[in-house]
Amino acid sequence: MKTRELVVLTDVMLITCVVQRGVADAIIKAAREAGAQGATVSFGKGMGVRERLGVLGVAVNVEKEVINIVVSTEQVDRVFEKMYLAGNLDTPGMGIMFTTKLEKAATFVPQDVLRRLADQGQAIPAKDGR
Amino acid sequence: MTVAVATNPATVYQHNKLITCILPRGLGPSIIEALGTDCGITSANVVNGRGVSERKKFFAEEVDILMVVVNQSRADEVFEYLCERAEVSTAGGRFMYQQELNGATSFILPDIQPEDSTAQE
Repeated sequence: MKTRELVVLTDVMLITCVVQRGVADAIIKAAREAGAQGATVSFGKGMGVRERLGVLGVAVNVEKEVINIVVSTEQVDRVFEKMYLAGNLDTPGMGIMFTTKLEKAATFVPQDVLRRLADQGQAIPAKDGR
Repeated sequence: MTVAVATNPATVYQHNKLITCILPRGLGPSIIEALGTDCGITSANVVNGRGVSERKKFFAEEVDILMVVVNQSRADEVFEYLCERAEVSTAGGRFMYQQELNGATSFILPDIQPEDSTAQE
C-alpha cells in the first residue's frame, strides 16, 4: 500500500472581518503587509438594529464583504491590529472583526520549505505516524 | 453574563468540527457529491468568493468555499479524505482548516412521499 504524508499546520488562527462592500481590498492589503499570506472574500448582506444609519446619519451599505484570513498565532495580534486600523473599525458602522482558534490547517507546502522547517526542528511528525 | 438557551438539548449536538476548504471555482459541487457517495455525508455548503494569495499577487482568483460539519469521531478521517480528494496538499491554490464547534444541529431531510402515491390521492 502506498503511504502518503499529510502535512498539517497547527497553531493557526482565523481572522474574520465583516465590512461594507468595496472596503475589503484595502484591509487585505494591510493584512498582507503585516505578514498574511492570503485572504478569501465572500459577499453577504448585513442586518442589525441600525443597519442603515452610520455615523452622523450617513447611510451604511447593507451589502457586506466577509474576509477570512488564516495566520499563525504569533502573527495574529499584529495582523488583527493592522486590519482594524486599515478598516477604521473604531468608527461606528464600519464593520466587525473577530478571531477564532483553528485546530489544524492544510495546504500545499513546497518540499524545500518542509526541509528547511525540519532542519529548524519546527516540523513535528504526528503521533499516529501521519 | 449568562444567557439561557431555549433550545431543546436533544437537538443540539456537541463535539462537532467544522471543516472549511478553499478550492478553485467549480470544484465545490463535485466534492459535495463525492462526500455523499464516499463518506455518507449528506449536508455540506459551498459559497463563492474571491481569493488573494502570494501565488498570484496581482489578481484575485475565483474560489469555492466548502463547509462541512462532522462529528469529532469522524473529523480526522473526513479531513484526510477532503485533503486527498481536493488535492489540497499536492496542488496550489487550495487551503483547508478545521475548527471546533460549541454546538451544532443536524440537517434532516423531510419525508417526501413517492410521486406515484401522491398521484393516487
